Amino acid sequence: MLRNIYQYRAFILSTLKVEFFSRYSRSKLGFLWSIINPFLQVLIYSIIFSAVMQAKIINTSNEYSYAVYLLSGIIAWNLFYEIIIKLLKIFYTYERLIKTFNFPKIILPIIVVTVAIINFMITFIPVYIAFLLLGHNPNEYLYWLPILICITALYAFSLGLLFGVLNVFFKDIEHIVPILLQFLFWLTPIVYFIDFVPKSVSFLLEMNPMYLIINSFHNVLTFNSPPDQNFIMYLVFICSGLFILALYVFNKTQRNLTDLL
Amino acid sequence: MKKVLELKNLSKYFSSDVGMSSFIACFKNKEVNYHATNYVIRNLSFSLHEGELISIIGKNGAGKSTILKIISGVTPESGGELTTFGSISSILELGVGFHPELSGKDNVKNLLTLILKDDKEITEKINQIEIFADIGDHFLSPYKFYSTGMQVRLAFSMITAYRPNILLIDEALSVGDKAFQAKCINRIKSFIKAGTGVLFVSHDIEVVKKLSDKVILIDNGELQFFGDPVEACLLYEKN
Repeated sequence: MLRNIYQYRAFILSTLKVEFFSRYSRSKLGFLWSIINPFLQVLIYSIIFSAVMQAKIINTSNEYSYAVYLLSGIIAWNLFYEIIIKLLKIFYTYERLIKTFNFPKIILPIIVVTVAIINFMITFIPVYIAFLLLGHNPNEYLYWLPILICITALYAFSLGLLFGVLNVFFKDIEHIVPILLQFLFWLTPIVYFIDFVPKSVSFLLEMNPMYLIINSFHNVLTFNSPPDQNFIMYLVFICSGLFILALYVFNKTQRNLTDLL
Repeated sequence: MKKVLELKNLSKYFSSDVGMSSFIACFKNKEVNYHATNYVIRNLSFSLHEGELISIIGKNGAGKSTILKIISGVTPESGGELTTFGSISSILELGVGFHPELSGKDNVKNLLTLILKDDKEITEKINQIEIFADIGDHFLSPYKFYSTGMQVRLAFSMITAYRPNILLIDEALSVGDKAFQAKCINRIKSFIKAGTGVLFVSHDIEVVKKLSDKVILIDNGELQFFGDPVEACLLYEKN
């Protein structure tokens, strides 16, 4: 796989440019959309939770901390979500290319993940500026961020690649996964706090790797503390397992994918 | 003459399995029961030499395009042996995976990175492609506004920007106008002279007769005739 990446680096780079160009070229606000998007999401959840549902989620020490909490979770979730949704249809998106050129298909998901990570970084700059404007500077454990990004990307890559392959065999996957992701979003404490969940169910949430990921982002970006070491170890273990499984399934099926597209 | 391509008892079938059973089949290594499945190509053997053009003719669905797809490596063979010597270029579909939002130039720039590894070479080739495609300012406008003729011009110009050892062409010429067709044929001929082996799929019998050294007639995925172009075309027209 690494040899393929190196051999096709020119194509990967060139396609990255194409992806960014085609994503933003036809809209007036262009790449500003990827910055506006998380802020709008935060605005919506803030309005719904604090105004409509009157939930007491605003921490007393800093009246803005809910916004900080939301932003930290949402940018992490968006990274995960973008990769999964793109990988789900990856072999259909590049169908023409797959059917006309002979190249290692594994470079397609790698392009998707790279685009998503770059996108995350583009979004992170204004988010951080917003933090500073809100009087919040989570710089102490910021060195954890690249590690957390890698873990999230690895988790999303593995799941997304599995879904992408399965989607070629079972077209229903394409409809099921977005619904599952909605469930997962609400099963993960992103817009609410884990403390709100009754103790009897909260242990279930803790088995969800997405909770562990979001919790680590929260620790670093919202609470200015290091992520839980046990969570990180567990995540690395889960992600490596999934990664190996995804590559195994991909390797076994890739020869037959073209004929089924 | 050196061989550039050799097929030995090449077969291709599309499994009739769908969904679960086709997924599970990927993880099994056992030999598949060939009789129970749908053949597209059956026990096909022939070889292509340097400086030779072989045409493949046959009815729609006879398996012509599939042969080219297997040789180019886009789709795997189900049985038999395929040996190729040297680089392969192929025009299998009109679109060749061009991105609709990008200009012809940016598309070419992007896809050339799949074929060529050297940046300087790519820049050089882009100019040559622009001249050969001869589509004027459209070279810089988004691909989605291209007419079918322009699409073929761009695809052919890009794929033949450099000389491969094996060239596979599927029906690409029939869409372009006469002038461009003549230009393409000239380029193919110059490749052949320089030692490229060409496999040519077409329904245009006149072009086939004019260009081919040998003709393969296939029907239902099986070789019906391999040899003299005039004889093959006669046989094809009789059916």
